[in-house]
Amino acid sequence: MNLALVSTVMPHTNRQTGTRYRWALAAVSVLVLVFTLVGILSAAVTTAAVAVPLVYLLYLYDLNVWQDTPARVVGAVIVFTAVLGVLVALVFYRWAFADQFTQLLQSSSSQLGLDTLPVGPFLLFVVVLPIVATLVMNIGPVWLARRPEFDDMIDGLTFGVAAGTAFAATETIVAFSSVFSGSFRTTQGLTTWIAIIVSVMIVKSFVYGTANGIAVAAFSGKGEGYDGFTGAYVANVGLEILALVAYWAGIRLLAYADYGAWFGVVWGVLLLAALLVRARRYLHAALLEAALESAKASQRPRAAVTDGGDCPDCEMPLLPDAMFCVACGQSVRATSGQARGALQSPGVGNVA
Amino acid sequence: MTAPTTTTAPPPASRFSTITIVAIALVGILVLGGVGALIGKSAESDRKFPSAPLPSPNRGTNNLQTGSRSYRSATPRAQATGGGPTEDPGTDGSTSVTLGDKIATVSIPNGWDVGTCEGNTCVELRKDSLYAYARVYQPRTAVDPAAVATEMLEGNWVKQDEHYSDVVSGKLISEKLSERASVASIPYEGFKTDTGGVLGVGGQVFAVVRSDGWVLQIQVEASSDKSPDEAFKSFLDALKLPDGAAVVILGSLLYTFDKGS
Repeated sequence: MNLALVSTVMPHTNRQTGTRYRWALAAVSVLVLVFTLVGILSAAVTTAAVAVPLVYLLYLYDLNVWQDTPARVVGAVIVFTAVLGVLVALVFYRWAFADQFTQLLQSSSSQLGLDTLPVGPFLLFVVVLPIVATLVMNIGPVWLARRPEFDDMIDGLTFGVAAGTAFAATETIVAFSSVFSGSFRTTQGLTTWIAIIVSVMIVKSFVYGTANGIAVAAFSGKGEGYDGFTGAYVANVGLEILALVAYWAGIRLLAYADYGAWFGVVWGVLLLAALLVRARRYLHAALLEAALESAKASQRPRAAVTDGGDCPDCEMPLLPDAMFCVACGQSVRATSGQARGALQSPGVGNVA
Repeated sequence: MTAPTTTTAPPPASRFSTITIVAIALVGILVLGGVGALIGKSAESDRKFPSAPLPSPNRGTNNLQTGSRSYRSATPRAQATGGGPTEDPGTDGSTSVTLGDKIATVSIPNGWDVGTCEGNTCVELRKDSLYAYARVYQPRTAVDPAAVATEMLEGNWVKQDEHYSDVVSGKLISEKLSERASVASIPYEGFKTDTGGVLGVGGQVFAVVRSDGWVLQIQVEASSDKSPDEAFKSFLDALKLPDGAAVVILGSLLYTFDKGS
């Protein structure tokens, strides 16, 4: 099983282009940790929340997947999800359920431990909020995936990840906004903050993004057009809700334990690994089925991008018209339908 | 390995080099971090604590009798319960909990959540954004209330608790509570956090030492989703008479500990 994070959530990358985003993620992570270690919590929280969405936006712009034309549309969907994320977070953390949030956080540091767990607030933030978040995170990407130029599964996955990370970022900023009122710099209690920053910067961002990407990819579905609100989409939305509920249940319950924030990181990483396996298996199966159906019909796949050669990832030979490497599963059709359309225009490509 | 053959559509061409991507990401993060730091700086707390209230039995007695309910009413019920911790419901929905063998009794106003620990030694109370925790114990050797209060703040009660960060404290105040007991207290404020979010908190730790060696430790704390300063103001409000939510709790603990067996 392949757990490669970047190549899963950034499916248009190959070995060469994927490496630059790994470097970018590593560089911003180091910078965020520096903010944390020197105790500037307001900067640490802000940058931790936006680190992954920022690199993701860079990825979308850099690879120019959709040939610039719909850049505003894609950007608008991300901004739309972020704005909804702010509203949802404000309702839950500040406006309607601030007392419940306070009870939950006060309880996690109780001298009496798990016995003081407030059941109502726990269910509100561990079950209800993830359900609302899932629905909100799906609105923009699903609307986008219905458009003919964005109806490939790989597009749905990308939009879903982008929206998921944007929602996670805004929720984090609202939930942690109190740090803007503290000391400019602190040296006390930073050990826990390192765990929290790692958790909200990497783990939470990718858990939200991957879970949402899987659901929207199911909406896009295989073959021509999009599948829409099928049973597979509903099942994957259910999986997304389940993943977020499991993530928050683990985070909230582990907060009662010694070193709970660090155990929360471990729990999130395990969950993320499971989601990545699911995302990759889902994509590979879909691509395989589409390729086999095309081969069976003796038609050149719509997504055909190569007449042969070697896989850019594992360097094993590629079959003619392959959309993925049969050896390692790397997608070699890492481009959008719109780009293919341009390449398949007369005088641009050499598609038969 | 075969040589690559014709490729009709290569993977998407990158607009930038790796160095450019990394540089853009770093500059973006630095700018956002700077904005975050500036917001934090502009809202920075001045961290000046107002004089912290230090209740005494006498003050508590006089003041609490003018409050919404008298903690004195808890005493007969507490005596009736014997060894604790036991909860004794009052006619107005309030309860009282006796710590140890009548070492101290806390009167709990209506609507507070109560938790007790095994061993008859501690009680935890919560309502809305207010939190109180009290514990009694008898050390083998005599202790100084100032040392106990300092240990509470610097140790596992506050600063060494992984949920607290950015904690700053006010002056330690010590005084005689009565001929029988002395009290020391330290106000503080900071953040309480876990992976799910952060709250500003403000409160005070109290250490009361009786001449027979018994020690009563109390922590009263308020929280705020706005700032530690706001939380500390809420804490002070909770101790204001006549309707402060924590007055009855703190007053009853101090009074019964001072007068208890």
